[in-house]
Amino acid sequence: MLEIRHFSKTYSGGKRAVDDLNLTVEAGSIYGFIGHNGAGKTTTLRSAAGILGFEEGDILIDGHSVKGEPVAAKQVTAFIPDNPDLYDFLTGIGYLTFIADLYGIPKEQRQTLIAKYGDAFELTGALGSPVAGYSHGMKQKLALISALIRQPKLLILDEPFVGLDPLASHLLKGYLHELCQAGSAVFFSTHVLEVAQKLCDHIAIIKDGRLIESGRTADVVGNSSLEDVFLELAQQDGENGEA
Amino acid sequence: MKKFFALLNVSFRGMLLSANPSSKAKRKAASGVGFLALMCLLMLYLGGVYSFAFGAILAPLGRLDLLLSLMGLMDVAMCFFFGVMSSSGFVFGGKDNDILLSMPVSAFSVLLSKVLALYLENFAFTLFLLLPAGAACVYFGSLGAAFVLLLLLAAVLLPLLPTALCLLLGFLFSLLQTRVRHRALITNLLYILFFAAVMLLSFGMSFSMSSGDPSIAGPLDAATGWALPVVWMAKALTGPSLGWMLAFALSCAGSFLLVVWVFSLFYKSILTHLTSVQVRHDYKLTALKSGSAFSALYRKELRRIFGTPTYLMNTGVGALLLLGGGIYAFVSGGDISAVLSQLPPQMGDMIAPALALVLCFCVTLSSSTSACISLEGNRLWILREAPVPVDTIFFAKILAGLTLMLPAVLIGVPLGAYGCGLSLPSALVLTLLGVAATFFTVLEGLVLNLIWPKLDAVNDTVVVKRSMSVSVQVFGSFGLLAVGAGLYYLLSAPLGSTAALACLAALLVLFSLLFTVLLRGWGRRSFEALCG
Repeated sequence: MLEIRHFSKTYSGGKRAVDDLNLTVEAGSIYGFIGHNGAGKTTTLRSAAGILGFEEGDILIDGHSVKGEPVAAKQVTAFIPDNPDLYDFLTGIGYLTFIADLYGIPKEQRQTLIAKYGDAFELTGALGSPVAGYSHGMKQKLALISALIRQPKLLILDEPFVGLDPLASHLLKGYLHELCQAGSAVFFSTHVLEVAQKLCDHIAIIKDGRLIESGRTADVVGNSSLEDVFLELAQQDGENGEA
Repeated sequence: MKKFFALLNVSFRGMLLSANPSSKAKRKAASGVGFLALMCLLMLYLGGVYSFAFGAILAPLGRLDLLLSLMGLMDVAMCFFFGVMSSSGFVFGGKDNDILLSMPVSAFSVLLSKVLALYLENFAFTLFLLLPAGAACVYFGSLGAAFVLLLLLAAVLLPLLPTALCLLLGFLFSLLQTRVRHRALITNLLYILFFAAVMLLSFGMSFSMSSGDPSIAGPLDAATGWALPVVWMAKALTGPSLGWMLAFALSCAGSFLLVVWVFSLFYKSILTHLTSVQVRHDYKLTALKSGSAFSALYRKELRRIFGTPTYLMNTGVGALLLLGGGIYAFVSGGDISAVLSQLPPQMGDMIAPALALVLCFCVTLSSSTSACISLEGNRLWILREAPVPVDTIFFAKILAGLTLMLPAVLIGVPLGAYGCGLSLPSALVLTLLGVAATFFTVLEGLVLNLIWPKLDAVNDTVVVKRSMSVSVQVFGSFGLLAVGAGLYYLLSAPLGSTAALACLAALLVLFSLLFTVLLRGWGRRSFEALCG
């Protein structure tokens, strides 16, 4: 569903945020993407979502190149940033309708799905109010609903559990599994390693823009914990760098 | 004291300077400073024009004090007009309020630093408005050194009044925006009413000025007599009188200190109250409509324009002027025609080009597109992620801009042309010119905003009032108007007035087409390069 081929991103100023990244996310899988601050996770996610331009390599979503066929690639993708700034001047329902129109979601489908996810996240009652008044958590929920109603083939999330209350987090995990069972894929970054270990089928660890480990979660973690693996790899890579 | 000056420094810089982390130049785009400089020049120009025009009429009547009252009132109105939204957005809605109030400084210091930053801006405007008034008084009234010294003192004191007013009204606007349904509509209506009142007064003054009527003193007395502080200022300066200066100083400083002191007592609670926006939880899902991606983008743009008071007022002022001027000319057509018919024949031929100049001036003030990319700010990811071609996004923004201005052109220009007694061909050409200028301005605005996007503003007010693209668009247009006037002068001799105006319209259409081609290539690439 997602193929990242020799992807590199250098920002103006010379900072090479990602260096020759290769990664594949299969349909039906939940892929965790972890790394320290500034490792290149957000750069990778935003490039895959078509928000950041890049020159080196290519990213394919459901066979469509993000560079060559951006509209087709974006049509099957939903992206939620770590801090979702939304249109303050729209109401919640206004924002959802806007997104539904952008993605061409039929009237009956949007009605059903907005009701389903709005009730589940306990946000339906607030949808008539302007987004300007929403708390961070409410905005996060609204952004998630706007992604889920699209029933995307690829869901890209940057730190999705930040700001969510425990019930919403639990619900989100359930809906991610639901999406994968329907044949979609999820690719998300997180600093909460316990969640990544429990939720993800596959894990990739990135450091200083380079992939240092990837594979099935069970294989990567082994008998240890993801935290121990992550810390060990980070230390090893540091030592290799010094040598 | 050190802490306070640090606060004042950061507040003033926050209001003016925009950091543009361009890696190559590493320069701060001082668009705010540029905006301030350009506004000061505008004040100097307006002050000079009105001061010397009224001075020539009032000096023989021995009523130069009226000139000073008038300019003082104009200054208060202009400072208030430009500062009230800044007060609402910056003093009560600044995103740095949380950080500042969490620091070991008093709420009074935080408030005073923000208010003084606003005062410093008003002081700059006042200085450049009162200096020409003072020059006119010295020229016509032969006033001496005492007058000049008192004038400088008045320039320091007068801005305290509009600053206090901005604080009061800014608070009310902020309260409206957080507490009332259809808040944007109500705020816009209040602002429009105020603006209409200022414009009516200006039209009336300009008409009286151009008619040279010596009995203007009576109406001016009535127009300014209620504003006691500016009357006291005028008496103090023309006396000269220390007694009246003391009364003036007490009224300005006293009201300013009172307002600031009262707000300082409740500043934290006010901010808490304003930020605790109430969200209703009683919405029931009803049957939803669906539309195309383009209509969704277009409706979103219109909602942003009409839902953001600062944006609407700054982009709609030209449309309002045009519509208001056209209706005024149509309604009082008889009076205007009577005045115009008394002009010498060669001046009579200047009516159409003068109207064309005014029309283009109004249109250039109404560019919603010069801020439309910047206003996306941190929300640009929504558009960048959407499966919509960049051309569609651009078209929605352009159409929203046209929606704002074209109705005013199509209604205001024919009405104004009829009111001024223009022939049908002239009226048609003027209307075409207005339409062409609208397209040009809207497309130009988008190009400029792609050159100078400001995605990191602390609030919408900074984008709409002080961003580089908006400043270049508004003030650069004045230069283009001068070029247009020059071209008209060259073309009208061989071609005649109507044909010359038609040529200018054709030129604007040509440039609009060029902008369109530019946007489809370079514009698309620039938009895609945003965010990294």
